[in-house]
Amino acid sequence: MYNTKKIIKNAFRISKVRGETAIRLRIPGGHLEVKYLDVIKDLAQRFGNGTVHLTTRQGYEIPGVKLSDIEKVREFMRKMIYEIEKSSNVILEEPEKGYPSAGTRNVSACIGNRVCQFSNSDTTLLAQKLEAAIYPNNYHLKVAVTGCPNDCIKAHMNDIGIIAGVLPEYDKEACILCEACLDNCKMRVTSALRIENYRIVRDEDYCIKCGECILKCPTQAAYRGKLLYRIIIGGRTGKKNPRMAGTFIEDASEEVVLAVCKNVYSFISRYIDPKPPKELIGYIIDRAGFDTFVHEVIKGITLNPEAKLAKKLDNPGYFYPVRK
Amino acid sequence: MADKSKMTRFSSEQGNTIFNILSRHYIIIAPVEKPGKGRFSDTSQVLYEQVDSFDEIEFFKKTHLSAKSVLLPLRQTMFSFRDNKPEEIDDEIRPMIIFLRSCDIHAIKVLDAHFLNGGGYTDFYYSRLRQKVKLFLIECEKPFENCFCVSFQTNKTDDWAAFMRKVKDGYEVHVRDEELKAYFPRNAENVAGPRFVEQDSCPIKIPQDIDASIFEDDIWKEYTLRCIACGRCTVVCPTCSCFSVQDILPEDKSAGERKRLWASCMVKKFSILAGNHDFRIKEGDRLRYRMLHKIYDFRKRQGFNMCVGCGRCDDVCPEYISMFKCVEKINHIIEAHSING
Ligand code: SF4
Ligand code: SF4
Repeated sequence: MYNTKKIIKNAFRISKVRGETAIRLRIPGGHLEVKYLDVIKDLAQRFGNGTVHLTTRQGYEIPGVKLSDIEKVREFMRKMIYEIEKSSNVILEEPEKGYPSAGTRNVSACIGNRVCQFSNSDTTLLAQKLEAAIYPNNYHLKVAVTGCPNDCIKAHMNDIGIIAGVLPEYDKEACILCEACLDNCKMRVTSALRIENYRIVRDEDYCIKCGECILKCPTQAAYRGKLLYRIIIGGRTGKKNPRMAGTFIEDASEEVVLAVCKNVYSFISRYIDPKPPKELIGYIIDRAGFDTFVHEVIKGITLNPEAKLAKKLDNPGYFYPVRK
Repeated sequence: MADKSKMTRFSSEQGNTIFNILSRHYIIIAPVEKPGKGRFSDTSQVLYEQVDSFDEIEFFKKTHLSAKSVLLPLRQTMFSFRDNKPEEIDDEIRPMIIFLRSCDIHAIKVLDAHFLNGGGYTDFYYSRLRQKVKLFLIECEKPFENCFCVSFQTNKTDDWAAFMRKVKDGYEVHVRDEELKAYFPRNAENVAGPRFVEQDSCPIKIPQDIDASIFEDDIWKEYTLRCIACGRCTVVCPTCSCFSVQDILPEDKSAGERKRLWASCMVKKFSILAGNHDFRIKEGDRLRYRMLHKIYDFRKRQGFNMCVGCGRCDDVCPEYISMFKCVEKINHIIEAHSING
């Protein structure tokens, strides 16, 4: 009567309540014009059970929808999902048919520099650009963007995490040696700064490009240089081996971030094991090897001069013991 | 004061020619907006910088930092020394033009009081820069957020070499300085002279007599809990001018430089004495010291206030500590004292 595979691919869920489903709305970057809240409310009241669930990936999930109403729900949300995707430059060819795929999940983002002082970039905007680069796609992939190494979006628990950083520039002639940057870096970050002959010296090996020194400097002797991203991969939860994402490329430009995320899909399609449903990228890398992953993913990409590739992938986590 | 008949108008294009000739003789320093150079990502910063055209100047926004660094560089070399013998640094100092609002011109008056005649001495380094400066007035059509210049009587000034206004497609200028007149066209037109702000959005009374009993008040304890001693208020202030002196030596100590660097009474180590004795440790005490200097102590000596009411400290404080509010609180304390005897 219902083709569950098709329904799931269409971003509807198979509910535990027989005959019911829930629709998951994508909100790339987790930022939404409030006018859509009216539509979401109507949708939940007319077709759902009058409630809405805020998903961990910053979407809206409307439960209590009858499987027999799917057609009507698609029609009802057609305009809204078309517009929301269009604001990320994704054009849904047949919006009347609902979402074309659900495997690649909503690209989520911390609140970013539209509000947060610490954020080194507009994370929502980058999430939207990523949505345009990778959606629609059936491969299961979770991508998140965060504005600084505080990682409020928990990019470390995603298949691909993007952490915005900034290269702190320093104008010695504007430095009054108040040591605000130094004290703060010591207290909050990695103590990458020291004083040498009446100027601040930053140790490249320790600086994580969080931008804290820039925030603290009263004279702006420390100021914003290039915006650079850290790409981390292989983070996940799950029932075998939950683990954190590890650094893949340090100091990548935005172009490199977008290109890498696209290329990840060709790696997946070549090396995925079709048997387990939705094999996650971390497992695929485990099997294919990190070197193969690097080779495949940076193919055809010219890295920006600052970018540094990790030599090996470090994904700390743990395995649930398996009974032999 | 506004002498209508002497105003001159010129187009942006003519402006380029005028600028080119003027900049052969003067370094021109004015407010500019720098995109991406703000403290937070994707924000801009309005600051003072040498400009390459009139069109580059930001006439309508308050600068975050003041122009004091022109006269009092953040790090200034006083002299160098080699084998224990001092050598004078004899930089050629080019004449300068600085574009300033009325309050900021008053701020230069405060710096002058400090450095040209502070305690009967003239500061050599300040005065050799100051002599080369001509002031161009820019006007404020209305007060900016946090401004209270009228209360501090710095809203008007007569102390300018020229006044310049940006209008549609060009500029209006009134030149008073004889040397500068030659650079500008003489097609006198009937346009309004400088307009000054006449009313603060929130006027404030400046306390007249403050006695030491105020030191004990609880407001300073509250500020100790709020202030994080970051020093931003003193850095952006156009009249804060404390500095420390450092000898900067290369590794082999053969030759070196003596420099003076901005200091701030709000940050750590400012009041540290020999033997590590620090007599103003609490943030609230530092704030009281700064505040009273701005609105009282300086005036006792000089006859006018050190604070010019530009509101930059209010604009910048990350803890939303406000000079304006503090003056209000001081007024309340004084009132309460006089009522209670
Ligand atoms: S915070 Fe700024 S002024 Fe203070 S020591 Fe660091 S760079 Fe220099
Ligand atoms: S009053 Fe504000 S700006 Fe000044 S030192 Fe304290 S926290 Fe910083």
